[in-house]
Amino acid sequence: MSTGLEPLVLLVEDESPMRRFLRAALVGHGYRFVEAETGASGLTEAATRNPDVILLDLGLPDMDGLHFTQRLREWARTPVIVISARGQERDKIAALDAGADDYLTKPFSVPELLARIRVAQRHREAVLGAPEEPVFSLGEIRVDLERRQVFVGADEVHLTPTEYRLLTALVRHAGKVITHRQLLKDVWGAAYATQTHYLRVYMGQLRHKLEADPARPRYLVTEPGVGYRLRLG
Amino acid sequence: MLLCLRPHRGSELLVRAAYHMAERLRAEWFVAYVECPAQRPLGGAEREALVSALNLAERLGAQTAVLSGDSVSDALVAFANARLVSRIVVGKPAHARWRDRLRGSLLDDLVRRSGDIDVYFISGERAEASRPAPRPVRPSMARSHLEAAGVVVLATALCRVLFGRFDNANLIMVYLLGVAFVATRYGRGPSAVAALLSVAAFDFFFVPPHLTFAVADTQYAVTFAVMLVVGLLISTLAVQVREQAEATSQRERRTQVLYALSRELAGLRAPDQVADVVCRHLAELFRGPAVVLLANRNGEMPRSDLADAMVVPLRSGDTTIGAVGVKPADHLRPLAPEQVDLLETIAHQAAAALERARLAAEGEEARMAMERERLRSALLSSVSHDLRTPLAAIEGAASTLLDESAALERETRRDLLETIHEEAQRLHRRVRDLLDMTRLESGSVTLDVEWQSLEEIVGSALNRAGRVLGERGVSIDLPPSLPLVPCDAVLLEQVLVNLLENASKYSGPGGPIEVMAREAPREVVLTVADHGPGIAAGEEEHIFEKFYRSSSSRGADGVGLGLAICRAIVTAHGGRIWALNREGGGAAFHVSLPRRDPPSPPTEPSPDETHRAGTSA
Repeated sequence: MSTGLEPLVLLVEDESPMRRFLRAALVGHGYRFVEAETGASGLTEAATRNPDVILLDLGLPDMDGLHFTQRLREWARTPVIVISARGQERDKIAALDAGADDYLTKPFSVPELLARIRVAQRHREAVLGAPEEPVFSLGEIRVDLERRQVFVGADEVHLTPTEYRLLTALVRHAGKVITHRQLLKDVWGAAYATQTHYLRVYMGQLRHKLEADPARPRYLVTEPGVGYRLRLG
Repeated sequence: MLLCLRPHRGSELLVRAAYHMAERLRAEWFVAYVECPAQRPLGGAEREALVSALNLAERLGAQTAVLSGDSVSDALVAFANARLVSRIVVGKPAHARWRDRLRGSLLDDLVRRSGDIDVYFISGERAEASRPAPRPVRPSMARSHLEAAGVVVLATALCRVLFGRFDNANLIMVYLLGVAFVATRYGRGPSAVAALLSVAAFDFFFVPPHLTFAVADTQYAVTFAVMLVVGLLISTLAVQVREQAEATSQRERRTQVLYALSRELAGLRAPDQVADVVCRHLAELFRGPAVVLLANRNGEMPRSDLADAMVVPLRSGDTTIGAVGVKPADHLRPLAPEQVDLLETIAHQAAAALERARLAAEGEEARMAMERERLRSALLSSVSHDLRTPLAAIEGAASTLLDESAALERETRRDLLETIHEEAQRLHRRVRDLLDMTRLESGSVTLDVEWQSLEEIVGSALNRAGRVLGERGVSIDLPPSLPLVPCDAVLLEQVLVNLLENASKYSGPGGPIEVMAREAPREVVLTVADHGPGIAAGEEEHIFEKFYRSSSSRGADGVGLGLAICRAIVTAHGGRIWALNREGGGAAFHVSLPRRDPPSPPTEPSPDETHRAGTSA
């Protein structure tokens, strides 16, 4: 249990050059750091050290990311960020659907990594009981969750019930990626888990209502092949 | 199709032949027999044969009818018109020609009255219809002799008339004429008979003493001998001429066959096609099963089940590349020399065609090998140069930074670090392109096709290409009515990223880029356009080739695969990609993707969603 100390990051990565730079970057930004070279030892470290965030490479020699996430999720809600290579879309999505929180694609920059870690932490804190804000703000967009009203700047924007549900699902995951499947289940229900065209249509509507330039969205970001993300800041 | 039965044997064979014909044409067929007053009534056996033929026809699926009319051809044509028959089939005439002259020929009548309907005369043995080849009518032996005698009788009668007015020498000419006629028409035997009879008749009737076979003047012995010889000579000549004419026409047929075969073989490039064509022609020619065996690469020949076949090897140079075998219809008799000749000629043609096919295949392989070699060497030179260059820069910068003896200023340090960063990204892009191309080529990429929004794909592509695009203005024109397109989002995003990188590479540091889309009835077209120098004339297709570097690219960035990757991905989607220069300068790259009807738009969900402040739009 971390008690007011800097957050603890567990890195499960078999390639030593990756470990070197991540260690340097994270320690340099004030995180405490622990590493594991295999999935099995990663699970052990997770159990014994109780990290605040886990960085998991999908290309581990002894088990794939999906397995690790499933095993971990049996007893821990620790945020997991998977590190994947291009072309590993299926593995990535499987891990996300199994409970991983976000992902990074190699090669990635350190600022990206830190941003993801911060988001993951924030969500963890929310889960741990910090009260949810009644109003969610993002740039010009304001969502009043109590009164169910949405504003862009000073103007109120009218959303259909489905659009509103979609937006609030994104808000609940703010900063994190949310897969197509998760989003469909949240908004339409488990039976619609494969109707991705629904998402296209409604996300398009949301972008047109909330974004200044719907073709170059600042907040309602598409992650091709994976899902969507409400980008913070 | 309408088959007409007539009262002679062979009706059942005709019915079967007609059945095969109808099967091949997949046509409805009728079988009819016409009763008409001009015909004599049928005998018992004939009636039975007719009935069994009609029964057979019904069993084989024909509709049968017994027609009556004034004439056979009238009744047939009327029936055919009523049932919309397009071809009438009749058995070949088996009776003598003179009967036709007396009674009128069905052949003639039908051909004249049939109008639009095709008329086919077939024999029962073969399943194929053909127009009758005019065959010389060869009456039987006994008949010929009788007819020869008849000619002599006619000659005698004529001579009787001329007797007294003309010299005997002239009367002989009449007989000679008769003998010559018989020789031409009937052959050796009858002509000898005619000669003898003419001599006898002449002696009997016209040589003193009349009405005896005695000969007063021994001169007539010469006459007799000469007439006999002349008769035999002419008949021999006539036989020879006839045989030569037949031989010539056979040769002509053979030549036609060979010509048809060689024409069919001319365009073929595949060995089994050649084998098929040769087999078919052989089977037709020799009226029996034929087989073409091809040796495999090791020179081994497959076995064939065709027993008692006449086999000829197929040779190309010194090697035996196969064999043809045919089992003619009467395989118990050895083949005539012309037939063996024909078989061998066909074998030659087949061997030549197979050789051509082999050479074509080798040529194709050689060409592909050359292309593979070109690509491999391009790949090697690309890898060696395009990957080593950024690596060299990274290595150099890093070692400089590590060099403690070098006194570097802060600015310089920062500079070197940025170089490392940029070159690493450049290296990443090049490796990404090489990997993408390799994966696409090896076929290990499966499209994950789903309904995608082009607006989203454009947006994320702009995001990813952000660094390369830099500060330049990118204008986006996507009509809101653009339909969802079925495609693989990740791959299509890569296409766009490649196009954007390309556009920024060629349009200079600040040059604006436009991205637009429009819909057409069958497709959606996405365009990325720049205001750079455009594409050199004639290179619009070449730029999509792997490792192609246009002449106008000076020290171009990249391995030269970006556009090739785009093409591979777009083609895999069933779409097209092409490039054109724009009016006013710059290049435009168009991507067309086929569109399909998107599924029905989702309806607003469950009515338990009670009214909220956010009312529906």
